[in-house]
Amino acid sequence: MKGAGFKIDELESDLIKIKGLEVTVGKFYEEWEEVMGPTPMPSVTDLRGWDFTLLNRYKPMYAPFCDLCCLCTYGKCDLSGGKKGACGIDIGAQQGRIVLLACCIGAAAHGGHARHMVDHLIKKYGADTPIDMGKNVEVEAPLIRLIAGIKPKRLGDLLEPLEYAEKELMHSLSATHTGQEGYYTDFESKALHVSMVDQLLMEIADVAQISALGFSKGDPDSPLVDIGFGSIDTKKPIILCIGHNVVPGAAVIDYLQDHDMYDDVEVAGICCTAHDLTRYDKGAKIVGPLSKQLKFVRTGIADVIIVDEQCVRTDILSEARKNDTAVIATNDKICLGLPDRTEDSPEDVIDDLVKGAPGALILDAEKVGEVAVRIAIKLSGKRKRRALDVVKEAKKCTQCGLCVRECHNNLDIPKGMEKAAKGDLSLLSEIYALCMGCGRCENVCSKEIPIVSLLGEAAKERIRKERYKVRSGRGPIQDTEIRSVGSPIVMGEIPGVVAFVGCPNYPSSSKELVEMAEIFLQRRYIVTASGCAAMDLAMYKDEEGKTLYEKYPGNFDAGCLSNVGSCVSNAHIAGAAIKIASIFAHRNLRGNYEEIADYILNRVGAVGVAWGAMSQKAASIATGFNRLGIPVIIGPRGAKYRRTYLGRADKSEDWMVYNARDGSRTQVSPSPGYLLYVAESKEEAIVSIAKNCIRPNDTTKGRQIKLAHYIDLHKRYFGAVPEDLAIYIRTEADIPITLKAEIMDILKAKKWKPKTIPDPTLLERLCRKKGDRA
Amino acid sequence: MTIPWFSANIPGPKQAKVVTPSMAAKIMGKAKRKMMICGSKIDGKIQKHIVDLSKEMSVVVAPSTLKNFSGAGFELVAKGVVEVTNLLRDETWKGFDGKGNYDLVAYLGFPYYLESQMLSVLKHFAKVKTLSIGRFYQPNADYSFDNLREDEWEKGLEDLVSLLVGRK
Repeated sequence: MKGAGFKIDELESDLIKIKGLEVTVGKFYEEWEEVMGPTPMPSVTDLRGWDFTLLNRYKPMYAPFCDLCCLCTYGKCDLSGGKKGACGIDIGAQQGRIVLLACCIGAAAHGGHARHMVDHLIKKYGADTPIDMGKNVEVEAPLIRLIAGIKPKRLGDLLEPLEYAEKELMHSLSATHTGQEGYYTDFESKALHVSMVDQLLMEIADVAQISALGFSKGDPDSPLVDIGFGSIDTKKPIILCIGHNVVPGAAVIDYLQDHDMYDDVEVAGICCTAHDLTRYDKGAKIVGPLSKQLKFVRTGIADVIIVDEQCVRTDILSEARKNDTAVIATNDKICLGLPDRTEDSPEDVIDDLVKGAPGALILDAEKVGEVAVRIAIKLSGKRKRRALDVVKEAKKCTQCGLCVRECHNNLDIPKGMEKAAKGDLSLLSEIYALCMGCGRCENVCSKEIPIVSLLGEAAKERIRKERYKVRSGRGPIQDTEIRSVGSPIVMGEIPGVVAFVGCPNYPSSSKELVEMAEIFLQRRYIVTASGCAAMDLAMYKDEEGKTLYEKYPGNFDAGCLSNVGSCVSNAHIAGAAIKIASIFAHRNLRGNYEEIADYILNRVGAVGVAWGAMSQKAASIATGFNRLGIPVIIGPRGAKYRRTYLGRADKSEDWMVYNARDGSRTQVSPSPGYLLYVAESKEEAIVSIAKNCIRPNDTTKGRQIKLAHYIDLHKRYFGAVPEDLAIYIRTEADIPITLKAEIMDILKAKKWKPKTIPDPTLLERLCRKKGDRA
Repeated sequence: MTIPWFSANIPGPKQAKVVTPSMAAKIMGKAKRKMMICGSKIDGKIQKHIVDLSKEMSVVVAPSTLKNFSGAGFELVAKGVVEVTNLLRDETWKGFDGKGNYDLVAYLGFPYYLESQMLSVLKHFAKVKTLSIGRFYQPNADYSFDNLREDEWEKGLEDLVSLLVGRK
């Protein structure tokens, strides 16, 4: 596509005075020799065929939260026992609808973020700002290339895929209206579609901020930065940024640097905006993931809280008021009922906040930077932190146990209170470490005990020691790294890529996540991480005092741990899988989604792990990976997403593929066995990860390696050789050499027969020669 | 009406009938094809009941607990609860013994919320009847124990086993 444009920096005549005028007609894209694939900017139904292929093998299993539909005034409608609602919907379609709704919400959150980011950066730096993802990254935006069919060269080029995504999101969401879509598979197809769009939106947001804000451009050695409560210097004024949009936090850093004050004020963050603050400047601190939000706010350490968008506690204002912390809302998504002070002078806003106004809405990042810094300096040391007598509060506890019932993890708070009432705070301190920080326990306490605050007070010493190192988000995976690992991944000699992503709603201690990651690091899988999970991976030290990030290099390579960055950086994990198809296998990307997803499903042994997935964004992220052919394992709380995608290993007909060599049909091993699976325990997850890295295309050497890990982990955690081992062995050459005798006995008992190893595809059109397909 | 252990876990008008151990034993006794599905939260005390109940029904355990059952003297299947629940909703499934799907499944030893969701799958998408014999009321089951103190629950399991298997 071509266009034309002109720019006038300054023009003054008798008739007119112009400054900074830029006119663009049409679009500027570099000529791109790659042939356009069949589905550039696919509509809601363009990839429906691919979705149905997936859904035929990986059928949705629904676990309704609720028997009812409450979405229109026909209702409430009871959908239990096969009953239909007044609109005609049944419980299966209703669950598909809820799933689609969740994925739309998730995609909208990333889309809103991307729109804010792109508009802001174009306004500030210009539409011609080049897309620059670093010297070793030529495939700068694999998802944009794949889905939109364009190769963006400048910030302005991001607008077209952004508008496309917004349109698809609108169509997808509209299907949830009463009287629209009515069948569960089509709800699922739309959920897969909007979640693919979500991946596009995440990439747009991160490509924009990497290019314009100077973030790491795929650097495996991105700096190790501070994370944890204990890393915050409480002697300084403290500004806490919560959310996902780094723009206002970056403006704070700019203001401090411009005024030579950066050493005088502490800038810290919670959730993904914290990742991005350290990508903007390594001097920023990360308090921790979402689970630390209420705990940290309750300490009253922060003088000012800046909220941007996503994952901010909706009661942040009242929580901040408990310690007279000022709140600045900076985004149209979260206004908190605050007065809009955008047009007011900084002096007036600061004056009001010092006098005790709870907060202000300021929709101008630069103004936020100035106000936040000045107010933090004024408030620091002046605010009175409320003293808390733990023993006195604990004595109020009646041991009713309602807090345990409300607690996600049924933590034994009454026992902790009983001990604390006698002066022993040890159990409360232990509970603090397991607490997800939701605060629901307090809501049901008839004695109004501030339980979360008590936990924090009891764990003071533990908190002081919370000081770790995390590698700042590196952004994209370099093309050179993909060239190095592409072949061993596709052949199976690197046993898999494991991505730890998502929220901190863990079933137990976050230490489980660290244990899982280290098992696969030690086994030389490629381990990558993003978002809150990437933070939690940093929050345990080994006996030598090192975190995983200090022990393992940050490359995208076997035995390495790469932190790609915030939630929107998840796009780089999907991007890495896409780049394997493009850079290693030379498959065309441009508008060629189905073929690339088919390639990844059959060849790239990648598994996502969202052990504490909580949000709608996590739902759309997982579903987006699923459409791309990447399975995701979620923790037990993930059952509350109400839908899994499960294959049936016992149904051989579900595992038929085309052999692309001659078009014949052949059965392959049932892996990945699931697209979305809920594991009950850490042990089950670990074994499932190893098993789901198996791919039909593995070479015999690769399959040997993958099976060796699967068998070994199965023995280690379950105490036995896997029952289903035989179905993963295609020829004797697949058997790990050291286990050959043992396994051959098993195979004989199961009357095992060798199978063909095909060039697998689910797409008939990719077959080179058509044969008998009876 | 019994309030679910998580008070917000109210699914709708159709909620489990609360049963005593003796009622649960009768329900289990009448079932022709019954199976017990056990989760990861199984300790030694519960394990002995599972071993006893295995004389009366098929048992599936969470893979992570398989080691604990080695040498228990009965055949069991180790499978994740999500996978087993998925199989149960297929009427044509042949069961783990090849004799067909089951008419009653009992759940025991799971995180509360996970069991609730699995019971919801079967409530809406399967014909099999469900019985929860965990410590807390599960509204998505067909039949469930009430919310019980730990000692009440342990005694309840003892009574159930003795009524069904005859162990004292």
